[in-house]
Amino acid sequence: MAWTDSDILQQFRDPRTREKAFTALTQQYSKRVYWHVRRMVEDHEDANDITQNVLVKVWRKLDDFREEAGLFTWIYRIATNEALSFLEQRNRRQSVPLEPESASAAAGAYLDAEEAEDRLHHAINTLPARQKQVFLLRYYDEMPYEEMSSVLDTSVGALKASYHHAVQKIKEQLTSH
Amino acid sequence: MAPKNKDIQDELRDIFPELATWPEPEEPEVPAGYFDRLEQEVLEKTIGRKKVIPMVARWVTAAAALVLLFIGWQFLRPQPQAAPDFQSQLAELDWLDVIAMLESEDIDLSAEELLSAGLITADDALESTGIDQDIVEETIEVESAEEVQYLPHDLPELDEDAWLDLFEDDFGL
Repeated sequence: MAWTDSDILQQFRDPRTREKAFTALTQQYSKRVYWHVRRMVEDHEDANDITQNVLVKVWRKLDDFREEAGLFTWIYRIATNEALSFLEQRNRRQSVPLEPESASAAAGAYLDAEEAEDRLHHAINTLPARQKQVFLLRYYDEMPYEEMSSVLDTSVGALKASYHHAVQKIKEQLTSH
Repeated sequence: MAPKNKDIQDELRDIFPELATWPEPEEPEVPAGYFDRLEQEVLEKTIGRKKVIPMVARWVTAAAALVLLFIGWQFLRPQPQAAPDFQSQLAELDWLDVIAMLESEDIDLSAEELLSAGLITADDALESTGIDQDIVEETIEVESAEEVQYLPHDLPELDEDAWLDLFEDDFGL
């Protein structure tokens, strides 16, 4: 039985049903959190560590959640920030930044799915962190700008501009020689 | 994976049309059973206990564990030797031992009784009597010969008077 966010929050605030509510939250959202994080960091083990950290933080902070945004939007925000922190640390450790292997082929021209996805991932990885984040939320999660605004605490106009720039850069990467 | 939402597709088409119809990638792989383990690990780190398992599942698990335990026990326990039945045990005894036991226990059984119980063979019975086998056989032959003498078919054909005379002579009737 799927719980509504309202049920989860209400039962979480009752000490007698707190654990049951959090179990429901974990069952309902852990998979979505994992895939969101996995798209950002790519590696499964990294995504697993970050997802677990995110859900532990949710457990600790859920009492402070004021319902200004939807429950999953709030969880998304924590997940996004965790993933971004991880990527920043990883980028600092790496002396050589990730470069696309070859983006010589015209985008979409007779690519098989795996090759196309590889090239797209390389292109995404060249984006600045904020643009990457906006692009992932919009392109993969199909998140409306209003919700994204709540997740990233950024205005809708700024998000639209970020997304536009991100797509332009990806286009350049995929069509350049 | 290109977005399926029409607004997002249209937005993307304005900037980079090819990306709006980018080939669908395969889902990245995750280890088998990963999401169950993820939930389990998160719940252990947070509420500090294992995921709540429904009661029915608990009973099924407990029953399965018992069955496995029983099967394991059947395989691992020392196999007791099947107790041979009484007749088999008796059959393995040497008849002389039987006789010796009967004597020591002061049990008086005739060779005939032992023979009828299947404890000894006819030869054993004869041997136990201490009588020489030749003598026994000779006796049997003699007795057989005597019986033959009185067999009706060897008797002369006699009328009633002759029979009466015969009985009077032999039995004093």
